[in-house]
Amino acid sequence: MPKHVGRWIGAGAVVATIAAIGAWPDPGAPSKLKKAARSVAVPTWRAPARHAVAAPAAAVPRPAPKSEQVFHARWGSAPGELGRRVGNESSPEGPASFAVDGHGRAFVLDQVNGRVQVFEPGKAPRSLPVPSDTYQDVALTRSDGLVLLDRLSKESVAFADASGKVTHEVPLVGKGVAEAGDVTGLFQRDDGTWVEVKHANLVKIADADGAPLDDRAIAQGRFGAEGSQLRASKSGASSAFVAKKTDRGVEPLAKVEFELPVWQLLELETDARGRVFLGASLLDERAEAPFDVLDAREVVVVLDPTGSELGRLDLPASTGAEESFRRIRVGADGTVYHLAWDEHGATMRRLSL
Amino acid sequence: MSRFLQCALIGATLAAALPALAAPPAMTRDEIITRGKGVVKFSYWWGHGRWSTTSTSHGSCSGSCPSCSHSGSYGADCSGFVAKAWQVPSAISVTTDSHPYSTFHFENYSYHWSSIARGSAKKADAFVYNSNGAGHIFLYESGDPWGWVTAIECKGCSYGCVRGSRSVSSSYKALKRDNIQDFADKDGDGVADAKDNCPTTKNTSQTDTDKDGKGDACDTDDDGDGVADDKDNCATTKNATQTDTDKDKKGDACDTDDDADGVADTKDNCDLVANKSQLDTDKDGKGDACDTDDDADTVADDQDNCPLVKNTTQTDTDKDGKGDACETDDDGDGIVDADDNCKLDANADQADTDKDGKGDACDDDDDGDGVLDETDVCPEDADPTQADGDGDGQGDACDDDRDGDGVSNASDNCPALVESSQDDADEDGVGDACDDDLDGDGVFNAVDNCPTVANADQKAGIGEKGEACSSGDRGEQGFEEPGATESDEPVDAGCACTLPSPGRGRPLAGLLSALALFGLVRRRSK
Repeated sequence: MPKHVGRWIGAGAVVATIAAIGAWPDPGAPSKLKKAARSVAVPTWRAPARHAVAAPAAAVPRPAPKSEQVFHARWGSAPGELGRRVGNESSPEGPASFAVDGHGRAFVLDQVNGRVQVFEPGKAPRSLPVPSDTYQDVALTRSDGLVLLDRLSKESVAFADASGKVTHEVPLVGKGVAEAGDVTGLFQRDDGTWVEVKHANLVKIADADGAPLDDRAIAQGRFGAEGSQLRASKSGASSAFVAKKTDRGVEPLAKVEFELPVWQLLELETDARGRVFLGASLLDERAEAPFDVLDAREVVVVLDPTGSELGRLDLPASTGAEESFRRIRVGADGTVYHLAWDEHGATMRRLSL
Repeated sequence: MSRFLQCALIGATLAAALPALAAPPAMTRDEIITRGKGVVKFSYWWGHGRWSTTSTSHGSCSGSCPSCSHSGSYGADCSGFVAKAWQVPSAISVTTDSHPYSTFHFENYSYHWSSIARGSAKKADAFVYNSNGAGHIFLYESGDPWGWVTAIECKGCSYGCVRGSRSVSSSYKALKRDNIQDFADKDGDGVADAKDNCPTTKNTSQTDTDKDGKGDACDTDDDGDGVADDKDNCATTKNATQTDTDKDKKGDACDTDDDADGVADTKDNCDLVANKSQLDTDKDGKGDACDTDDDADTVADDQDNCPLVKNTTQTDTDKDGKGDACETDDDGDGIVDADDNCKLDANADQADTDKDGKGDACDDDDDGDGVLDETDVCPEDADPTQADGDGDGQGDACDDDRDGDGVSNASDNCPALVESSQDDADEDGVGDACDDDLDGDGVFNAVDNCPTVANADQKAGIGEKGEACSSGDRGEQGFEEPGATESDEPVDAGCACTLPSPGRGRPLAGLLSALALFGLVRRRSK
């Protein structure tokens, strides 16, 4: 591709990113956004020293990831098994989400079986029964409590104690959340409970104690390092953008190229070192009907805080049509946890560069 | 029987029972989504597809489907919902329970839908999967930056029918409904409402005669001429005046034959005046019926004495109001010009003295003798010599008394000689005054030895006299000689003329011959 063409494609993609993710209106200072948009100068953002170069994946070092199994659970309802609902004219489901605490314990939302199963190294899995099978995301409080997202049925976030007993619920709909179904993530932070809307803004719906908030704060992306907010978006057929918002404004962080077309993004997280982890589902299909799948993969791209790529982690793809809400998590230390399944059951692995 | 085989058989049976594949009703994507959103909050009802836009009795589901339990009148499973939202195979009220297709049909057949690339899914398309007897289908409403889908789906017994963001496994494939309109089109004419100049009236052609943005189909004044279409005699042609020459209720502006003469205006040389014959005398392209100067002679027809014949001078010889150019009898003498030997001079008798084809009335030389009539002493009698013996101005050729002696030529025995006595001794009709043979004996006087006594034999007598007139001999004619004398002088023949002496030799003979000849000619001419 000629350089000048690539430059314009890149410029267009920058603009598309900012436009597609809502132009990031700063509720307090709209003028800042305009300033930010203007600051996204096409030539500068591609400065290699500062931003990730859109290098083909093959050129990026792919060190063999460290990978180890955390657990494997067969399908079923027994302890240690995970529930899978085969959709018979309905949506098939597997474990919708999971969370990992600082001790390496995996709290798997086994909503089909109406429980959260805790997989702890060296210990037998234990179940925390929850009152609904319609939860779709789980987060952990500092007191080992659970925060459960039920966006489609009760349209609320349930706060449960360590035993799984729901103590109270906070409705989702309110400022910043027009439709509960638009919620795409649950984030529990020290300052309170946040929900993500359409992979864009984060809305704080409860305080640190779990009390509902009427005056909800809105962050314009997932929390990154040093108070920044991150957003990711598909860009073109086989690339994705990550952009960062700081006090200085919005700027592109990285444009990531993939070897296959990007079907969906799966995750965007930051570890304690500020490294950014972008999970993607890649899909190559035949160009004509019946559009058979030729190749399907999942990968996590690891970026340093400046957006330079540190490496990629190839993940075992899940087979089947089961819907999941979240199957990648990143620990504070940068360990990637991945839950995949097949006909035989679900397997969680931890991977790192 | 395995579950898979069961479903396959059910599917095959359903497929066989399905009605003929008429196209489903055209729908816009927005219509499908609006219809589909109506299912949100209704219960999941396996094997059914029914909900209400007014009722809040959503029903409920419990258990594990397909063995689940349902209560209430409304609800749908995933395929029942999509079929109802898509209105396939045909239009049906959402309140009417129906379940025409399962995910097996959606996945494996293309009744009223077709597979599309996953990445090209748009609003109101669907994602379906079916494998080993299990399947799910949902409507795609929109995508987000991660490629996740805002879906409307009857998700399952626990969830009911919901709308929300979700991930989509690669096991799903995308479908697009047939006969889908990618734009709102209230009147279903194939033109998006946003661009339809009659959004609620079918008008595929979008004709907008007056270009006022309102299509003719819904415009009460298509041509924008201020006259409503229902009163406009040219509804699609601007004609504020409404002129209708032939009063056939079709205004001239749109009438192809304004004067109803059977000749199309484009070819009519008088498009506003009926002229079936299309006569155009001067071939100037303007028919006579509407041409003010039919013959293009610069004289207006209403003043032209020959409106159809070019006559710039307007000559009208007989002043009958009809110009000579078109008059058949210019001089009005009753003789048509074609036959008239004087077209411009009345001459009913057509007299043509010299028969030269030019009537005397207009002939400058009626007798054709080369002498113009105005100077011709006998304008009607050819006489190049213009002889006028008696000098009376009337030529001899036409003078009844050419010698002017008072005796008409017919009676005058010497018409060329003044001789009032008219003596004619020999009674031969030639007066003595001009008789060259007085005695009529056949011998000219000049050589007759008895010029006054008939003596044909000319027997010699005394001296030069003949016997007949010598000494009293009488000629056979019985004449008494007054007394013959031996004078050489010729005898006066009783005319005023004097004959030349016989002894004057040849010149005299020649003269006599000439006279004789003259007299002979004159006799013949009588």
